[in-house]
Amino acid sequence: MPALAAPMAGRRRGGWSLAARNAAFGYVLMLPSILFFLVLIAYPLLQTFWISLHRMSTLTRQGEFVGLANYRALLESADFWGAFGQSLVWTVCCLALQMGLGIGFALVLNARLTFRPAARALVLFPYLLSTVVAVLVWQWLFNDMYGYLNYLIEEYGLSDGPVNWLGQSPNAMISTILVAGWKHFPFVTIAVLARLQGIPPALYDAARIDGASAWSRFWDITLPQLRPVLAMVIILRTIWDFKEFDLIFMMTGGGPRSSTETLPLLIYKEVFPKLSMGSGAAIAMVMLVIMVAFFWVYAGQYDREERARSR
Amino acid sequence: MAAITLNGIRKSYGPHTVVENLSIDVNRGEFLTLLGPSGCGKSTILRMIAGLDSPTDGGILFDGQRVNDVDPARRNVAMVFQSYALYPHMTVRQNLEYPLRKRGVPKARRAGLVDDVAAILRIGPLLERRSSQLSGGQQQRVALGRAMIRDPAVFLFDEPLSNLDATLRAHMRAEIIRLHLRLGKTMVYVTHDQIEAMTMSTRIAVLDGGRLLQLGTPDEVYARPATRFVAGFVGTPRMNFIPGALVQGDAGCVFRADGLTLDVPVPSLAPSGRQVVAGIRPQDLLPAEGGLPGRVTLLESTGQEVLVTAALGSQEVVMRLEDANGLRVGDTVGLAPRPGKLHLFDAESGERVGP
Ligand SMILES: Nc1ncnc2c1ncn2[C@@H]1O[C@H](COP(=O)(O)OP(=O)(O)O)[C@@H](O)[C@H]1O
Ligand SMILES: [Mg+2]
Repeated sequence: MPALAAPMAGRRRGGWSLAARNAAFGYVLMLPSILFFLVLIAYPLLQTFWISLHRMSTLTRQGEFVGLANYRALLESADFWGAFGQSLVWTVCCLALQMGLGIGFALVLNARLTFRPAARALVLFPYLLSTVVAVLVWQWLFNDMYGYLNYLIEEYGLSDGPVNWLGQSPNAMISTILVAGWKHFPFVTIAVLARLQGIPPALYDAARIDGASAWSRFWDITLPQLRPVLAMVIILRTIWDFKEFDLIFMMTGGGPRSSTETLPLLIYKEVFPKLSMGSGAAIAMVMLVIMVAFFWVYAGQYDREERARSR
Repeated sequence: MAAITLNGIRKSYGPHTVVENLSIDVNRGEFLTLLGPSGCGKSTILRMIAGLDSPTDGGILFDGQRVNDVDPARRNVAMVFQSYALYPHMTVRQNLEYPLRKRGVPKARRAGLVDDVAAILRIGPLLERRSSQLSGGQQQRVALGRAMIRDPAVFLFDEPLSNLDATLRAHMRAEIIRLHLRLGKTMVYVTHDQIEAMTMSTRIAVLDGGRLLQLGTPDEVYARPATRFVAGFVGTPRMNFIPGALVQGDAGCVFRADGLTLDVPVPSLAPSGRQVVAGIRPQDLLPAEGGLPGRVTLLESTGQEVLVTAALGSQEVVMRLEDANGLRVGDTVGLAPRPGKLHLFDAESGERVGP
């Protein structure tokens, strides 16, 4: 043994132990991620916060330091509170619609269907479509003069006159939410479907023998098995819906009369038409705080429930 | 308790028939084992009894009542699955309670039943654990408990021990036998392990390719296998098979092995020249002066017995001895079948020939 141990000890470089060398290697591997984080996330974040403390023109990027004045102005602005409310309605409704459609389609596609492969490819279609194309198609469908939806309505006599889908409140908000639901539900479907296919069929067999109805089998087995994936999908979709810009901007431009103006559209309005970069940055910071708060509460809740279950 | 009748059952998936014209009467309180190799249709049969699958043809009767169209929940059967199929997000207690809850058993009574079952299976300390955190053996017990708790008329087991290690398997085997003695319920047990089938069953149904080959007590199946397949499937080490023919010998009909000077008198049969395969279990092959000369190629000792593999002409046979008596690889040993222990099967059909 000693004859073996001696040369091994001699190989220790610079007196570092094996554990220390492994740890050092770990830090080296982490370095790129840390750099990416600093350059791509921390710097722009601090920069935005810094801008939000200034009264600054978008064109010149010059302006005086005003402290929290931009934030104070926001809290007193009716535009901000309007957009805040619309963002809330938008996010909650989009999320509900996407989750409902997404889970529903996933359940249908998970059933043994002869046309399942084709249907699975087809269901992805709206998600793959570029937003510009999707908006153009839907604007044509929604058009109050020659749109296909109004043609159908007239054909079947569902309404007295043509429906003003996009030019009237609250129709514009509802129509836009419908399009966002249609556009993004496939993401939910794909995520949920992947999980559904991993649920052992024997669980359903056992539940049938135990006397569970189709509804209880969904409630007692499918849903609990989906919990982790639903938690993730809800987080991602909430973030994406909350900061949705292009779809609303192209559908309605925030109108009519700011009725579909959500916080991202308000930022745009502040920064570009109004050239007020400081207050735009302040709204962006508020959005960030809202998202972080949501994430905090939601993740905490999920953690607590998980811990309660595993006890 | 219920008697189960399978009446001319057929099950097809599209063009593939996986169970063919199967008729079995399972007696009330019986422990019947469906034994067969993997893919022979055992699970399919069990699922049809449970109501999870419907037969393409034929009737399933519980106590004479046709149940083909009765929902699994209403058949009053419980099933233990190979994968246990415990609800992973529920605690052990919730798993045990689930079938009771779905039947509207009140809470106080549920708690009492859970305690009873937990005591019988000694899983009391596990009740508040999540079922996904249990070991295989513990999950197995909980799965048994979930089956017992409803006091069903019929227990169905689908290879419930195949995921356990050997020690635990032997232990749980005994546990299930005791459960059958204690409850006296009708049990249908699926396995591909002939040891399980032999040790646990009242009767065994041996299946291959979706067809019933033999139905009988373990002793019957072992002592008089109905086909060559059954003979080869039941018993370890496997039965030796030697091809030959039934011909006229000095004093009546003999089995004459192809290419060997082995004649075994079988006086009860006609020397028709029929091509047959003789089966001899390893313990029925004895070392004998003047027997067939076999060259020893392998010796395997388990401590309590020795398996001797010997080459007989172009084929190998296995002999089971209590001790090797100085036998070594390369030695030549005379082999002779124990009188009256020769099984004969038709070379073509595999059916048993003679008594
Ligand atoms: N849902 C199904 N669709 C098509 N074939 C099936 C299905 N279920 C079982 N089979 C086929 O039926 C045969 C018997 O299967 P199974 O009853 O599971 O066998 P065992 O339990 O004896 O291993 C197998 O060949 C299997 O491939
Ligand atoms: Mg099986």
